[in-house]
Amino acid sequence: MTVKLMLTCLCDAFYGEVGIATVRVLEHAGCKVEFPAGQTCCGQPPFNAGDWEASRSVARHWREVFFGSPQSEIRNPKSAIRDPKSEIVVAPSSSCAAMIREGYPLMFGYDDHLPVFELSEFLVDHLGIDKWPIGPAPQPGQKTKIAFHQACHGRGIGLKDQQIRLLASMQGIEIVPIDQPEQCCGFGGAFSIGHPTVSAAIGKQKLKRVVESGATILVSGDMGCLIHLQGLIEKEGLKIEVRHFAEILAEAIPAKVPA
Amino acid sequence: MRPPVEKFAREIAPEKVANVSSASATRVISRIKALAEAFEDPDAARRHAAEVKNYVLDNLKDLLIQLEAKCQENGIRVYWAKDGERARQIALEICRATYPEGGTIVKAKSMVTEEIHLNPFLEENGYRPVETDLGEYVVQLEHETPSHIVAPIVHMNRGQVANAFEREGLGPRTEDPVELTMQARAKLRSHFREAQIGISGVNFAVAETGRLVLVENEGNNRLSTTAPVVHIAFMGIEKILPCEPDLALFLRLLGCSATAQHMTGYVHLISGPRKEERDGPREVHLILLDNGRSRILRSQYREILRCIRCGACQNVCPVYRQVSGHAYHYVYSGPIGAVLAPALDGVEKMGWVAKASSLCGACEEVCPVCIPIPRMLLQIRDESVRAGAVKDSVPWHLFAKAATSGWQWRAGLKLLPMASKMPHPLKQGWTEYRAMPHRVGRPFRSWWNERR
Amino acid sequence: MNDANADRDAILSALPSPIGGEPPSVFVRIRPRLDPQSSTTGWEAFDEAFVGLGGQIVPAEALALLLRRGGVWADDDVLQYLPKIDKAASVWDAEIGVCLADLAIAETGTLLISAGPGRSRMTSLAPCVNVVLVHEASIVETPEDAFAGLPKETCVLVSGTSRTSDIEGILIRGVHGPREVYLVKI
Repeated sequence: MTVKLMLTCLCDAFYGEVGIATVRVLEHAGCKVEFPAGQTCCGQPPFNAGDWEASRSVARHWREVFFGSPQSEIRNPKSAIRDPKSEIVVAPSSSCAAMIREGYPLMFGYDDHLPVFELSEFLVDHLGIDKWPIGPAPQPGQKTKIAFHQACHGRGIGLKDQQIRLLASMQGIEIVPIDQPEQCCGFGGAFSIGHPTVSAAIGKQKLKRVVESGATILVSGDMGCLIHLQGLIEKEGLKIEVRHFAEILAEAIPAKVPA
Repeated sequence: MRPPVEKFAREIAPEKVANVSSASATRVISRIKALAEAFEDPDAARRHAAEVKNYVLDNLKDLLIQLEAKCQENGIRVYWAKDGERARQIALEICRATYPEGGTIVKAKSMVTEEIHLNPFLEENGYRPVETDLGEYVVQLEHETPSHIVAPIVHMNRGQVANAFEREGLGPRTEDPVELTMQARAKLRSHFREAQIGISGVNFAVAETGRLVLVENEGNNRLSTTAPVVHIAFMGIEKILPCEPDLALFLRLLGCSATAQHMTGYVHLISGPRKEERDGPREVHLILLDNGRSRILRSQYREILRCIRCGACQNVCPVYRQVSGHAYHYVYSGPIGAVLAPALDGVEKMGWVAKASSLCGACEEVCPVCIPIPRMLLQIRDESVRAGAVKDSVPWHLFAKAATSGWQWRAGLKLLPMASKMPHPLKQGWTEYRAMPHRVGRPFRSWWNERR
Repeated sequence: MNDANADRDAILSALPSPIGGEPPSVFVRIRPRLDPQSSTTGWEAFDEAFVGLGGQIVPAEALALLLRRGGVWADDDVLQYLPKIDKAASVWDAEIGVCLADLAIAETGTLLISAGPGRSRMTSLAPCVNVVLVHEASIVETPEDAFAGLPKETCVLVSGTSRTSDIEGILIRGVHGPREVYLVKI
């Protein structure tokens, strides 16, 4: 099947490797990937900050790029989407998926939930993948220990344990439990700038628990969490490497053996 | 201009944060255990409770009329107060009729009486309201405010309590919690015996039977509402349940969510003043308080009126844990306060509270009546911006301009590394604690274009 | 109080019209599958829960000794079950309060005590020791059972002793109400 990749603004700006990894993962899962070049952002930052006028204009651009709908206000978007089955959008971010599926109806006042999926929920729920990589793969020499952080915005799309299940199914990965894993990282979008002391204090507590767990790699599925935690790690000089889970999945894909 | 919660965070004593944080973490775990022991499917219980509360809100007018009629049949006198000022006035008139010269009033813990600033008003008028819940008593002695709906002194330690009691002359100085508690018991007992009036809130009022339900563990609530001749109960108009069998579900949810108990120590089911028994109040007065609730009921924040004041949202909130309830500068703090404060007092005055949240959604996940707090926080932020009440430092309209044009966006991406190096007040918020994000590895677009 | 009535009209007219309809049916609680070793019904379950809350079960024969600890305040309808007691002048001065419970709730170790003629609401509250008598037949399984048919009088559901954990989360008994609760089955 064909999916459209939503890169997310953060990956566009800073973390191209996560986008590349996402493409690799989707192709390994048997999808053909398209990348609408005019994409920018889903509009979450201004929405989150309360500037819904600014957010709506960005959202309209997003819809135009991904679903070809006109720039004006849409009352019944179902008619604007040509064929939902072939126009699925996948993003390596639960906060972006939550924004488009749940935030757009709230902001525009209609009741339509666009077919945008976070990467792991797409792989697990829609493609039925429960083991990674798919098919035979060489056994890794040793297990890499990782700590896992699930982004809070997973709550917005009903994300359960899809990310951690995929990671746990990998031969070369061992997930080290951390204390109070459900606690937020403290990013919260505009919150991180408007309330920096609180935001940083929450993040430092999260990192303290990661350090206590003994893991040196922290894996998560949302770049918002990761730029915030990465920023704290660098400033504090902590010995933790931060990775997006798409990169971990991509690295486990066996290289194609030339014929 | 720092937002008040951020400012508070910079000034709060680390010890206070530690007290609040560890107590909250313990409560989070014990709540989950209690719910799992009480319900095969705790989420089904929460959803049903939300349905019952929705029914109550949808039919509040009829239920209030029914409650009033049943209470009056039971001998409870019912009053209506459209705001705090009126409620205080009604209470004062009742007090004057009992005790024209003023005197001691014993008070059970009641958030709604704090909401209307009842104590200072009574004191101004010659009465002496004494908080009898142990934590609230300490708060009163220290001229502080409670920092949590259920655990008023979660932010304090035994040394601080000892200081307060020593200063008040309750007994020889001790830091032993048992001895401190016994000192308070003895002192408050003398007030229970002398008081002619007791004041309380109401946890649930049952419309079908006109019964007032009060829950507690200490016994001071029962004493305040049984020993004095007159009992005045204050109640927000939304605290109704349709019938008595509903109490089983709500008492369990409240007990598990607030204190990880299957049943609070005492559930006091008040049918009215003394009848044939040898003691109990001769008069029971119920003051129904609106104070903005009817307005909230008509607004997009109506679900907040489902709240049963359990405090579970506070325990789980990462922001609350870092700053304590006092940072919100409002009677209700944490996630519940972040919605109630602007909903009750308007976004102009209190819209800023809703910004002190990372929108993690843990509150909604633990709420026993499924209140969609994050959605309402977003709506409050939108309302605040439209009202010009909250000024965001980021120029979002400029962001939107770049984000609605493909070429402007791509051009902006190219300029980003240079822009990152330039000083800007916005950066300050980030760089005080964090390194700036920077590009790692290959840009996606050039990789994609080369591929094709 | 004319002013109160004025507010009544203002508040009622500010509320939206009721939607009507039936309230949701009472929640049917499914008890989780507990540890098969522990008792789940009847007095065995009650005793376990009650003791877990700090209560103590006492045989009727031990009543005499228990009541000799100090001045006793007893409700009228429980006197017939008691040996000779040293009556306190008032419920406040009593060391021990003795009353009859309407029923016991097995699952939570709870006692339902209602007000009535010859009874004091304070008997189970003011003295630091509370002795509760309950008929062996007066037991129900769950709070749901009890709430399906509460007595009309003012009553209280007592689950254990008076307690607080306001100071540093440490559990302390007998802060305002009884520090000790004894149950005697008759």
